[in-house]
Amino acid sequence: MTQDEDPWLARSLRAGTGLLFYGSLMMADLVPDGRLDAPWLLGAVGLLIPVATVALWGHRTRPKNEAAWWILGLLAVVGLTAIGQVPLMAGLLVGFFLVHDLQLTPSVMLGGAMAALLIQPGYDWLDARQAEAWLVAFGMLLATAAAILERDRLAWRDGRPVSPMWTGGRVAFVALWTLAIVQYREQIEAGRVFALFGAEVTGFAGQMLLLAIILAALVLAGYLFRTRKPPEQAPA
Amino acid sequence: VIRLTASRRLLHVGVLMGAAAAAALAFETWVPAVALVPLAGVLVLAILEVLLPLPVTASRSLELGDRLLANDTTRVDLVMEGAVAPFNLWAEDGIPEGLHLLKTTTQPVSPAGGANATTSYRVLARRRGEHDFDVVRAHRTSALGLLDRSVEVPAPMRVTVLPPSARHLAVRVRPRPPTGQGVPTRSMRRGPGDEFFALRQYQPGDTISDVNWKASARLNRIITNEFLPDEPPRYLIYVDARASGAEHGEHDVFERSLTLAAILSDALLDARAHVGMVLLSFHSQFVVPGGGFMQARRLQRMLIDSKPGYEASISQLVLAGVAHLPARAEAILITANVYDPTLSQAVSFLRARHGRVLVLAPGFPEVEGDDLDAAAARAASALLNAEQAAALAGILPYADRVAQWPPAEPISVTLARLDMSGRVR
Repeated sequence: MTQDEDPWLARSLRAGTGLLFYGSLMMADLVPDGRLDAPWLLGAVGLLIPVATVALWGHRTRPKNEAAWWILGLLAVVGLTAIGQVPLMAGLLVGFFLVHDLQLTPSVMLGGAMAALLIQPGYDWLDARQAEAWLVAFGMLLATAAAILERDRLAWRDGRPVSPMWTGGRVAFVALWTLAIVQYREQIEAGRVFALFGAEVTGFAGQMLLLAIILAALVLAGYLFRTRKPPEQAPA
Repeated sequence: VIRLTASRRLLHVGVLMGAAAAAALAFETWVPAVALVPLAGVLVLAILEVLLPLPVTASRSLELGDRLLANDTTRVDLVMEGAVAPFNLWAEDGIPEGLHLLKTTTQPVSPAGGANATTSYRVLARRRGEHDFDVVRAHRTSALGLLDRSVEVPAPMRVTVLPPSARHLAVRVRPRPPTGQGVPTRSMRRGPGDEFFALRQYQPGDTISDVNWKASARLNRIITNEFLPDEPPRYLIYVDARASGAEHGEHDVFERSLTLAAILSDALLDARAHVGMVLLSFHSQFVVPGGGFMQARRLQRMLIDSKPGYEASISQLVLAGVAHLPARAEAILITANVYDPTLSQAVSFLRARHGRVLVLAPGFPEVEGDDLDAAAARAASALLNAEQAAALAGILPYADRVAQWPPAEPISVTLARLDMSGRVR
């Protein structure tokens, strides 16, 4: 049974991934003492609007690489971010990508979750503590898991199935990694690595070193991206 | 050759990590930077996954064996040996040109005992000939599809696709009933032989016209003539195998000529006729007429191996060919170039040698409507009328499957109307 043959299989898988992503959006609205902050339903509203448009107008609502769609998308992203509704924006974007099975969905999930978690209006990151770190890490973990599941579902849909055991194993690896790193942040002592290069984490030299690492990572990514895209399927 | 490639998503993850780190720098706090932690985990996992060993050898097996009929669909099982952790493994098989991958039927790569991994897909045998599988490219794709490492694993295999067979297409022909040379007949009933063998006593049921009255008078008993059984009808199929035929339009009329030749020879052999074949090109190939299973194998092998040949005028090719072949056979000329200026001359050579000629032109299925078919048929018809070549009567009684004129008039067959899907197994 493939996803093309059974639309309800694809729909339920999409719903599961969407729910996982909604969990990551809710982390942005949680405050450390455990109560949900005000508009926590807006993420779900954003995710459900594309479902409604597809139910009403079908395939015509599929985002295309056209000027009109780019302008509309940029307006939605900038406008909703400006009025502080980042979870709504992330939900809307991911929802449209998800219901139309676009290849970029995992990337949009990671980016949307990170935006929702980090762009919180009125939040003073200087006061942030270990509890906030847990929320951010856990939210990103949920988004990453959703992205992995979605990527494997798309691979299956395009004819290259991934075994559920392998998918689950990878999600478990990332989960354990996240928990271990955030739990043992003090013991790992990342600052020592910086000190090894003669830079203090909080000082000017440390910031410059961090910036250099980011630039190096971007250059490396660009270098690797330079190679041709591998063919997805055996040639017909 | 091991190849490592990165997908666009790696760039996306890099940009996201940069954004989180920039937020951490801007706010002078470590909390936003923990968003990097799951992404770093995915990156570490991707590198670990991609470093897993790739398979060293691979082998294929086809469900229907390595001899297929054209238009067969078969499953190909691919076994890769030495594949540790086959979960993120997938294979890209170099499928030869004559086979067509059916895309909707991919199976997951799964462990198959030991360190082996199996996968399977379905192919359609699209074109007759011998096709070689070459290498399998085994890929390992990591979490989120960030990195991809692949290696070429040699797995040579040869598959023979046999030309379509009349039996599988449920096509039957009735050969001309055996008669004397050049005697037209309206009856399809098998007549008596025409070669005298001996005299014998009349027995009830013998034809009155066979009674030898002189011998009867001499011996005072009723004596009849006995004849040898007939020779089977013989056909020579001339296939226009010139390169211009192959390049006629952008469609493969050469292949369709061969298909028509294969179906015809198969059907005629099945009806106990003797069939020979000539592939007309600068280096023409011959198979002299014969019957039975071995002749079928010979013709099949010739059709499997045939390729478009060099150019020459068709009348000269026919003239060079006919002298080497038995005259007492009827000619079927299969050509797509019905507008060839020397075709009428070629037909007149064939007519002089063999007596009866049938010209068949494979159709043009890509043209909507019958315009081109009709034009080709008109051309062939005019050609045959001009040369007064008699058509083989009753060779293609497919009724609705092919265009057929009354037997007294020339016949032209268009392959386009042959229903390839109505096959029986």
